[in-house]
Amino acid sequence: MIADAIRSLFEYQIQEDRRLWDEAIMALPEPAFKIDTGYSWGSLQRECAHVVDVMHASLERLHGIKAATVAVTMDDPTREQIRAAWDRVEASWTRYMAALDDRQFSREIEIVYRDTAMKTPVWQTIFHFLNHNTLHRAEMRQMIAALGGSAGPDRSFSAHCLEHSE
Amino acid sequence: MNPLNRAADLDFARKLIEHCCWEDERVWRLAIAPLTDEQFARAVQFGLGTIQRECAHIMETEWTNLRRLRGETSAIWELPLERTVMQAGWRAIHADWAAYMGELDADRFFADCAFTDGGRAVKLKAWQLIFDVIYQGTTHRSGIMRIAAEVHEAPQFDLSLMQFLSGVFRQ
Repeated sequence: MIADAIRSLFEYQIQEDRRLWDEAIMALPEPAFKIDTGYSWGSLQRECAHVVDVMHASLERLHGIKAATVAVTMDDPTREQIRAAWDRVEASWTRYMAALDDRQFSREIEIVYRDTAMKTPVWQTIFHFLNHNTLHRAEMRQMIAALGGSAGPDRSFSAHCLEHSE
Repeated sequence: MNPLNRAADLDFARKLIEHCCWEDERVWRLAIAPLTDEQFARAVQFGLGTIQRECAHIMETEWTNLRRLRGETSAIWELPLERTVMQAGWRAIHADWAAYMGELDADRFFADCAFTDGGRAVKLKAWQLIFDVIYQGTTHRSGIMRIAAEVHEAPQFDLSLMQFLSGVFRQ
């Protein structure tokens, strides 16, 4: 039952990520994607690459692997290249979440976080990924506004749930 | 009784709300306290427009959803504008959340909560209202950090759930 609730949260996350990509990031002029806004990772290009790398590393961690590679391998990736990497990692996450059950959710795994080895339950890494994407979606919306683009606010989780219960 | 009705099953939800309140307090201490009153209320062109409004929005969601979870009837949210009043009010909300989460069991976690929203009768599960608080807070704390960088200077710490959960990197 808890796993079903977490899957619902994951679906919300995916919808909001895609909404930001489709309605705001892809709507910007191509050069704007690489402009340094002077905050956080600077450009949307670097911010998006960071987020997809953390998505990738978090999932690898759940499989007991310390990610040795990054999801975005190009030096100067285009929006389309980052989006393609994002979609691949998202699809892997979707497969993982589809198979998640309550026992797996609470299972302890060994991870390395910021070069520190620790034993943590699976849910911590799942929520780290969900929280991290949410945080960076908010930063990306601020960057898009600074670049003259338009990104409405994140739709709240309760609004998402009400919409899907109707 | 719900088969999951053991206190340990909901430790994850308790930790997430504890993180939410801890991060609210940390953002206040490290990013908001150094600001002048003028910076706190200065308008910018993104997010909710001011740090004051971002704080009020997080507080309102935490307050409103907790009332809904407790089955309390609607009341009008009164926005505290003065910073010391706001901080005291926010701490009281955090204390109420800690008390609520301490008593939460699986039956309540999966129960329906009926309430009115904009005059419309609606129903959500308790866990949906809890996660709503968690993700609204994450989104708007990010807004506070960005506005603080605009009106003053970039705060010298990261918002990170893993920092909190690991206990190793807490500030």
